[in-house]
Amino acid sequence: MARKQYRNLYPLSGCGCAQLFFLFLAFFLNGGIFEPSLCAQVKFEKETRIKRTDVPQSAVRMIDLLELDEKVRWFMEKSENGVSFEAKYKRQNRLHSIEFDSIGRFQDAEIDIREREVPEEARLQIHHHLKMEFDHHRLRKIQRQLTGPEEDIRRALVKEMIPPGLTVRYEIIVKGRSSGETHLYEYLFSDSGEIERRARIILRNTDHLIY
Amino acid sequence: MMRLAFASMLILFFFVRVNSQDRLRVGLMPHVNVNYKVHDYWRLNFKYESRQLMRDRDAFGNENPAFRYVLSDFSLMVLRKTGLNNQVGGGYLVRIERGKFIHRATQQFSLVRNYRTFRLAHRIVGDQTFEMDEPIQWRLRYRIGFDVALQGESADRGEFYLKMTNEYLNVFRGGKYDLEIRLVPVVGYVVEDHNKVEFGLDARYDSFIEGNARHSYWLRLGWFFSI
Repeated sequence: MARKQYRNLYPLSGCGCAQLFFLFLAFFLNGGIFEPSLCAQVKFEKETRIKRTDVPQSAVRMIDLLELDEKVRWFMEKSENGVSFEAKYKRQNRLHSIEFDSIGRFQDAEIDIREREVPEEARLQIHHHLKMEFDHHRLRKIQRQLTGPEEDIRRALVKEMIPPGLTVRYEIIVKGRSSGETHLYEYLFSDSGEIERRARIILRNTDHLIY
Repeated sequence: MMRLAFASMLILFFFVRVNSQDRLRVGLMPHVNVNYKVHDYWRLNFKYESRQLMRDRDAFGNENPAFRYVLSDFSLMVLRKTGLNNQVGGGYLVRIERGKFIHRATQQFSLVRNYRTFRLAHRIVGDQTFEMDEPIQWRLRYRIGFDVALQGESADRGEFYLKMTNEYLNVFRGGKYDLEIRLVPVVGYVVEDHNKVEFGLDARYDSFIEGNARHSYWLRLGWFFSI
């Protein structure tokens, strides 16, 4: 049986001058590289910023145990599935989102990553699936989703290593064109690059910004 | 957020400095904007805008009569989506001012970029204004704007947002050139995603290249509705 190994949580941490230059260029050319998140468009839920004191104690305790130097922002989400809580912070220049249910039980952790940080085998498989579905596609945002026992997740976030027992998935926002129509989609891929979920993103109305 | 609001106020502070010889107009600018989705790619936009003056001071310091109706604009645009977040369009505007009809043809390209906590919009407009006994006025405009939720990461139903736009209008008429600068900070309320109301200021600064500059401050009250 193949032995699973620890994986680095941020295999490509750090940002060189050349990368900074290209990010800067991309921002001004609107090339789409500098688009950290499109979560705002997946509005099946209502998200409100809340104070730490309004969050269930067990959720606050887990975040406190991470001993973060970074500022943590708390959000409450209301959707058809009920209420959930989310802690967001930036570490290694990546957004981390830790989600809890209505009574503060840990659900999952999501970390923004770059495409190169997805293992090659999974990356090839993801592109293979997307090529089957679209004439042209582009990955707009990738999050590594970690689920498993709270203790293991906490250890992974502190040590910045993914232990073998955790379940890793990739939540990816894809801009896809097929039959002449372009839309945004949210995919959930397994660690091996197999599709687990797919949903079309409904873009929020922008009329007030255009006219 | 606070830094953003402070920077906006700072810009506005410099913008609103009015010299004694500058012309000044202060008034109301209500507008209604209705969008109709004809097809996945095609849209119609109807806009009604009106202006009422509450204060009007000329370059010699003379104050003109107080509350006065100025104009009404009716415009219709046809737009086609050309990508995920961009569209091109063309339209026609009829302005009724002092009992006269002024006509304007408009061409527009717009692009909206989505970021985690805000949206950034670019708009390029070309327009030609036709008025009796006047040479055609050509304008080339560029507007950049953003909106940011005042609660959470995006403005949902029942929440407020801040919108700020900054527009530069290059005006060519009868061989003369003028530049107009607009700064529009507004607070919006999301009734529904397709139904928003806005309240704020529309500050305009023009004629400063030649002659006495003109400052116009319109209290803006807007309603955006999509069918």
